[in-house]
Amino acid sequence: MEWRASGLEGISVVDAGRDVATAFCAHRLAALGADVASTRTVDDPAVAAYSRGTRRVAPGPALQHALAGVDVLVDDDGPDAAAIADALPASAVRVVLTGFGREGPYAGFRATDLVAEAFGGALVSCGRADRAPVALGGRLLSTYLGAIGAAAAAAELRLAQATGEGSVVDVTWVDALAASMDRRAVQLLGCAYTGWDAEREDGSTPQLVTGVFPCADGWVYVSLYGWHIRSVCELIGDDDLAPFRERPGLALRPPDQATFRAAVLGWLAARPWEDAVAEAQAIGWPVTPARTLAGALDDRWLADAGLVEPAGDVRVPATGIAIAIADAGAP
Amino acid sequence: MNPRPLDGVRVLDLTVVLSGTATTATLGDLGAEVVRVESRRHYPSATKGPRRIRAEGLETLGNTRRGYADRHPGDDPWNRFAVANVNAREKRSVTLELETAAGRAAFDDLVRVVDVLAENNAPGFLERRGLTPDALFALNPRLVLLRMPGAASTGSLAALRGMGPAFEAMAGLRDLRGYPDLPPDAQPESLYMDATTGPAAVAAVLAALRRRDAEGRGATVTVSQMGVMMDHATDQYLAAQVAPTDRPPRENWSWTMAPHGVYPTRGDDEWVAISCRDDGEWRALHELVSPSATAPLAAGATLAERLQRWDAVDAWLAGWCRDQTKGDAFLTLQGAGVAAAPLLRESELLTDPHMTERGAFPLLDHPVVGPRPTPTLPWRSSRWQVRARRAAPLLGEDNAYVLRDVLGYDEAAYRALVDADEIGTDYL
Repeated sequence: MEWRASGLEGISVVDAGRDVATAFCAHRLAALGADVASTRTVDDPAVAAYSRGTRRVAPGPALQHALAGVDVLVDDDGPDAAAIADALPASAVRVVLTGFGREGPYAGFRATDLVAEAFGGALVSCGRADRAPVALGGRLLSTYLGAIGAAAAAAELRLAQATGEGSVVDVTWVDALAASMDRRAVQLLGCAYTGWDAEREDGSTPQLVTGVFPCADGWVYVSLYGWHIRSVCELIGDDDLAPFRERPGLALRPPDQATFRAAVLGWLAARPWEDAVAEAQAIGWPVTPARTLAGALDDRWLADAGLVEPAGDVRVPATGIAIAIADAGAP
Repeated sequence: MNPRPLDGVRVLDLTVVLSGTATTATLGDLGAEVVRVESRRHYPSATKGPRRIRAEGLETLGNTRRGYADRHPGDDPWNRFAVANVNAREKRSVTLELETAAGRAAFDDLVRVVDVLAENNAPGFLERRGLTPDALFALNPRLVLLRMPGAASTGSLAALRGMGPAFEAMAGLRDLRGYPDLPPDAQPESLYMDATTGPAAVAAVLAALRRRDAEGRGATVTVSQMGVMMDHATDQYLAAQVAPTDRPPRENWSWTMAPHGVYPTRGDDEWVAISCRDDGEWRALHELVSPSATAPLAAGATLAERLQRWDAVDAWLAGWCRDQTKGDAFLTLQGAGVAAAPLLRESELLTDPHMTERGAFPLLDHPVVGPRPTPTLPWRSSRWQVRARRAAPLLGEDNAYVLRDVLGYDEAAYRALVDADEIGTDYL
């Protein structure tokens, strides 16, 4: 499948930011058909990764010309941002991506992926109770902020194009993470309902078999919910599992979980990942291969689905978004 | 009242679990009228919890499994559960069965009057019910059909079942969160994919609507949840191909910032996160902390030197943090020009003055739960008031509105659906 999208043709975007978040925002808008230019000279590999389809526009007359017809400016409130924003037409949307925002007691405070996750995200409850909380690595929260910025840009564009009047959009890391479906938003409403805060797991929470586990030749990810118990027992066929086949609820009781878990892990350990995945998926039990980053790029299923594509000497993920007009049917 | 971006747009919502329901909640935040179709015969325990559950012992459940309002499931636990309600804001609830003739007829009528149909169900969910894209476009040629498969709609991946963490493991993203000294089966869960789908799907729907409005034809929008998530990590995939990265010496490590970590502060399990993004922030940190304890490195130390002596720098910084509250450390460090933040629990974030002033958690008055602060659309616009207005509906609360007001069914037709148990406000 080709992951190609459209809809923002004719939309001009200028990225005047300095880091990964604005680059990803512009990258997402480009994936939807917008024409993107950037004011920066890229020397950061992380930024370069999201600047493949971006033109460079130099400060001075070229930038002024670009700004005169721009639909969306993306920036991070850097030293030059105010001057650039002054040159925007009245119909333009300005999306400002920052850590703590342009309003509020902590407006202008400094942030990184780690710092933002500490304040707005679920960092305090991520990891093991007997260790330090553990943050998401890489620049995943920068790209997440950029993705929120792109959604905001597309929404405000619709309003601007309907009314001829642009807007300034204040998009912050801490707001974005507080509303995030990485469970933080769920846990915030849960706390508003109960007063309970989320905690790092200490191993006492009842668990069936969910997580990464070893198989005969590597690792697989296993999800196992109550409704899988009976069919998993039938698949594994272990005599020890006979009671759970008749009464699946037994496997949910802490005293019996160990027996059930041991049988499942024994079944996994006896199979190469490909067999374990195939046999489990055949009965609707979600077992999937667990890979490294580099290993994922070699996955033939991902390649077949077009989710990894060549880019010169390297391979990169596709955008994962496709838009096909109705009379073309399903893509 | 200022117009909202999606005023006048109607969305038919067949989404499940978190990523899909979050997408349609955002479309609702933007002004769309979102009609959520729910079955009374298929209980969605993934989002509404067990059908029957007792209040005793809720506190022993995991973080997302215990969020019943006032710590009590009540007689209608499906209406009181945070996992479902967080993404049901700004939505209407109608109960319909896609498998019955009457339910299907009403559903088809709804398809004719909506702009967007959104779904992220198991592979083949729509097709098994005869709701192929061609059939849907025959009902409504201007429809934007949003599909959010876990990985792909066609090929080997299309049949693969799993939730977000399963696809994260397959994509290798678990490499990016964890303790370097522990094996894969001892690492914490990664929960990133569910977060990335919504923003991508919302932007794509807006693009498709723009094109539809210009050309008059609907579209199929396919958002691969796994593909979008991998796109978010392109820099990491590129780095993994250039050279194998050294194993970090500890969690929360950065090769481009130092110090960079979380440090215990005064109190039980209280922490502050600190990142020095450049030499200037290191000098500021040095000036702040050095009066309390001799620094292991000079104020002019480079990033390479700070990375090399990371353990000594951590010990020095940890000593200073131990004497502070996390709130004091946050304000002192930020005042000195160093990126830092307290690790906030939910109860702290819900009442934080910054978030309060920004209106991050408007009070939404739920019919059963009452008014509660609720996470909502995470941006502020100079053009319109970005605030959710309506809490989650009760199951079937909007049956009359949707069937009578939207579809124009008369009293007899509506009553026939009620009498046949096609629609209602509880599960069968």
